[in-house]
Amino acid sequence: MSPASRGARPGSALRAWHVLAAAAFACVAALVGLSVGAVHVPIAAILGDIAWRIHIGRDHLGGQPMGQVDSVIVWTLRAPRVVLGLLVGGTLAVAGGAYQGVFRNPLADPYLLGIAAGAGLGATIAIVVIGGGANTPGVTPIFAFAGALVAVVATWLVAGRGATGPTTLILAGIAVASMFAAVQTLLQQSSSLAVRNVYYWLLGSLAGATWSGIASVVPYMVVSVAVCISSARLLDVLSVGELESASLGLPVVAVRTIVIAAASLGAAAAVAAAGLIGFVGIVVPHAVRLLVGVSYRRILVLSMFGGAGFLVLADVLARIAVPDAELPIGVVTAILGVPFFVLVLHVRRLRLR
Amino acid sequence: MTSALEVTSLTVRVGDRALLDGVSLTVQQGEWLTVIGPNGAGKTTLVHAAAGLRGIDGGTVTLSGHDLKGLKDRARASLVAYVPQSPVVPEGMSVAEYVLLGRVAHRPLLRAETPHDRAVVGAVLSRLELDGLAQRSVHTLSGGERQRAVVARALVQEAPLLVLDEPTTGLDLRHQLEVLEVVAEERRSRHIAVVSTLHDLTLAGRFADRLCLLDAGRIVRCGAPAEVLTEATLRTHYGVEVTVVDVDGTPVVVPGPRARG
Repeated sequence: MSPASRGARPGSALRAWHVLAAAAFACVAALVGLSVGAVHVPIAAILGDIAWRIHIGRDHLGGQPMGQVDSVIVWTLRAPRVVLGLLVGGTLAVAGGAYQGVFRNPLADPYLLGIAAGAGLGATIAIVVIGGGANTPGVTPIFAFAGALVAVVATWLVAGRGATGPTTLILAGIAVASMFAAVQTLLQQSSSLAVRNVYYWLLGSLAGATWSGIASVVPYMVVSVAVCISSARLLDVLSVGELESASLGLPVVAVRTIVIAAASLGAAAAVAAAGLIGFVGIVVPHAVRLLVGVSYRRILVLSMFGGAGFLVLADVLARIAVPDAELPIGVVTAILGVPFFVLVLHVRRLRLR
Repeated sequence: MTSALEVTSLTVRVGDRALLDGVSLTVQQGEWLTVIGPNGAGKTTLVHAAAGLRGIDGGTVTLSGHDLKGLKDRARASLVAYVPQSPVVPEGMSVAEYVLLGRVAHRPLLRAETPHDRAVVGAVLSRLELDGLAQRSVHTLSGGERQRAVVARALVQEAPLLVLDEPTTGLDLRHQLEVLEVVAEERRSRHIAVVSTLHDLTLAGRFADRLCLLDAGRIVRCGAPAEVLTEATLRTHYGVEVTVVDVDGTPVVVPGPRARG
């Protein structure tokens, strides 16, 4: 092998130890999420219970069952919440990374094309019109999901099929978001109860997690993450710009359309399931980028695990930071995310020197 | 034999203004044609249209016998490779990875690169004396090295036609020559056709078989360098006095009127 042909590998290909480390982080976060709360259940006990539940013949892998109370706390109360956290965090991080690749803009986030405003309007309609000012579980998420998708499609249509580049789309996104936000404000005039419920819902929380709720968003998230991750190689090509990647044979408009559609679908499902959780979609892909380089083949897969673990840990903090109360998880993601980001930034700078 | 590029009555308009107005030209396999002309003449538009990178309003562009209109992106990219005037240099990408991007057209879109792709990249990197830089980040390269990397990316496309838009922009004399020598050598050894634009008329005459002078969207003269680079022609279309001196059969264009006496 010539040095050059060997040289085509480092810096772009995903390595096994990257994936193992990222997956381990997500697993540890999940265990912490199951263990920590008002009642502390030791991680060892949870691992023992898992081992006991795995039957191989009569061997329970040396595990022991937990007490019944602990079992209800861990598997009935906390597990759906942890699973939803993993799903929402992973999806938002992948969607954010994908948006950054499509727009070739490190500041792009999953809410760029009006998803936040659309979900906000959808939730407001559900709360004001359907619920008469109150939040109806099961209805609000559907409206938020639909609103988010309507907003993205509206952005797409406003920009026009002949949109010359991502800038037009971003501008269209801003226009659509302003419009939707205005309509939302108008609807909220009806009652102060509605305002409170809408904001409470939008601030985001994993508290309402149920297995059936999770089952209803999982398909969208799986499709979204799968499409984004399999397009990672194409996002790498797109990093030389639209004109040049077209000259290399990339169907730029098709790639852009598919990736935006997939990322938006995932982000809409995430918002429907857990409200507007900011920062995950920006900070996680960035941290990954600073640690392992610019290739989307690395960024997207590792962001999936990183985002999943990050959001579960943020949720743990949201639960325990203030006794007898819960913080909105969006507040925690920002408070936790910024120092972490600064740390990564500095470590990176030192290494570059 | 089909020609590498055939452009017939090509018209490109923006609003009412014609950027290109009925341009026709043919480039044979192995031929080097350089398009010259004053700023705003339509050189870049012509190059982009020939590489299938912009829509056209009339006429046809044919690449190795295939009408550009019916070509998918990847099929087109295996018939024409393009070197931009100011390439986008992605941060943090190594030279080897960057050059490997040129192989996109040679495999299904979602497929990983094959050992053959890597072998092609390795061969081009060593021909262009870039193998020592394979692991360097593209954005840390000097201007000359970077331009060679961009040319390398175009060469691994293995297209019969190489289109270069002002490939010497921002380079010093030695690196200008270096890049053009690389292209000349590839043309000789691989028999590829080359279409370039160049501002430097002397360099243009030195490296091309044929020059086409474009002015206001029309081709006003095509031919051997000595036929196109004449004092009268250049005065008419560039609007300045120049002196053309013959040095061993190559016309050298000296700005300014012929010294008296």
